Amino acid sequence: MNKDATFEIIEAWLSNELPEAEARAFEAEIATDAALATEVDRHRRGREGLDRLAEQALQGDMVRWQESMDELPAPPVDELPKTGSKNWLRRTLFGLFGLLLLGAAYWFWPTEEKQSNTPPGQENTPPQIQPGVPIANTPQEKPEDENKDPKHTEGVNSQRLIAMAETNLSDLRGAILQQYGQTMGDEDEENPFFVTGLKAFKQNDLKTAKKDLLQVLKTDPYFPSAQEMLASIYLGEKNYSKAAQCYESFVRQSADPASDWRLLQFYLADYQNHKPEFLKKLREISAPGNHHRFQKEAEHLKREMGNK
Amino acid sequence: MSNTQSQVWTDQTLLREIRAGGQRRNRAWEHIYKAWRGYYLSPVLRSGGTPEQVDEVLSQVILDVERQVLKEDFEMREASFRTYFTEGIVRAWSRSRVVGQRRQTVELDTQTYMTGQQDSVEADFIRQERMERLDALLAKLGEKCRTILTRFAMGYSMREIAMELGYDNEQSAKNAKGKCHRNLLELTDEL
Repeated sequence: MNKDATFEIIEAWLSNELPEAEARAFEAEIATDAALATEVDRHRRGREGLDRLAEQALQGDMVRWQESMDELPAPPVDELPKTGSKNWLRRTLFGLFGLLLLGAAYWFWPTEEKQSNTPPGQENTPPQIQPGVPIANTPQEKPEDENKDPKHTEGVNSQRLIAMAETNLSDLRGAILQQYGQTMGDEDEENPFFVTGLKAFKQNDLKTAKKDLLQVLKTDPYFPSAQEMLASIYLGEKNYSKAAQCYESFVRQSADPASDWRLLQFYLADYQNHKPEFLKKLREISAPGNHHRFQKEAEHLKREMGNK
Repeated sequence: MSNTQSQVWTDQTLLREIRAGGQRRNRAWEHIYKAWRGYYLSPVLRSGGTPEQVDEVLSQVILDVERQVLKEDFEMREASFRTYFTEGIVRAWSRSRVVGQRRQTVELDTQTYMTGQQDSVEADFIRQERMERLDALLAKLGEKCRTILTRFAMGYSMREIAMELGYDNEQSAKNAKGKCHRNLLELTDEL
């Protein structure tokens, strides 16, 4: 492969632009070719430089934006279909096609008689209204898990993985306290159960905190701050499955890369129930093209998992 | 008759424009920066922070959020994009304060900061130092290369780069970018 081709393929791989098969083949090549691996590392450092240039440009833009705060950029303008005879013809054809579809639907629609002939056991059931896809299963949505003996989960999960996850999550409570000691959103202050739950959490009265935070979720199942604290509480109780559920819900409303990394640890603690999620998240964080802040830690974890 | 239709900035529009890259992406971020400013500053100001502190972390948050948005499986669910963005800012600001305090401590006493600190803050601290080294290296990049690579990093297409920087065609812009990219790699070898 010549130099230019190598350059292009490395850049494409770092940008996740290579087709799956080519990417795997390239990764195999990196694993066996030390010179190539070194070159890939060079490009990774180059990416850091590019990211920094983008960041500096943004900082310059922000200074400019600051000077014209009242001038909001116009929203994008979308192209409408062009007018004219061809368009008229197209609309007419679409109309006719629509009428044909309606007719066909009417013709093939099952009548009541047809439905009554359906054999028992294959009865047509009325369409169910699907609830909106929740951000995550909240503690209320699966109350049966609430009474599950946490020690059972602990027993079936690998102690080693749990220990690794707990070590990596040892800063969680401190991070939460640091966060909520300084910042609270408007909605947080308005929820009396959150206020008392937070107070109890700060005082390490976790029983009261859990009770109040679960109350918060009854009125707002997606309350991120409550989900995060509950995840920490369930982790302390060694109820890893519930902890992962709550933290998953929290992360879907968070842009912080550290939350991603912590979610990976929650999946690790509950590896038996969250193996696919763990592997997916691990791939996501360690993927070179994603430039995740915890990429190195994820690679390290990957190696550690592979060694045992 | 006009062939265009005005829209408003919805979450969907913003995400689409950010993904488009280049000038479209810039306009989306400009809108977010200006129109949402009161909203994302509010929790920080109420906690004793300043707009300047927010601006210090804002560009990094924008790039972090952008990376998430560019992922194929990214989707906003119940939370609005504004809430998502604001939360990123609050967290980054919160972390930056600890890092700032630590830097002061380091200047006073190199022993103090080594103990009892959180991992994520440690990582931010290291990141900040690496960033300073990187800035020094990037300063050696020529102005022309800096401009072309910055546009490239901001998601501009080669066509946009060629038009904006006055290249004859896309291929010329691509060749120039390739040359500058190699210069950049040589510089970052020292990182």
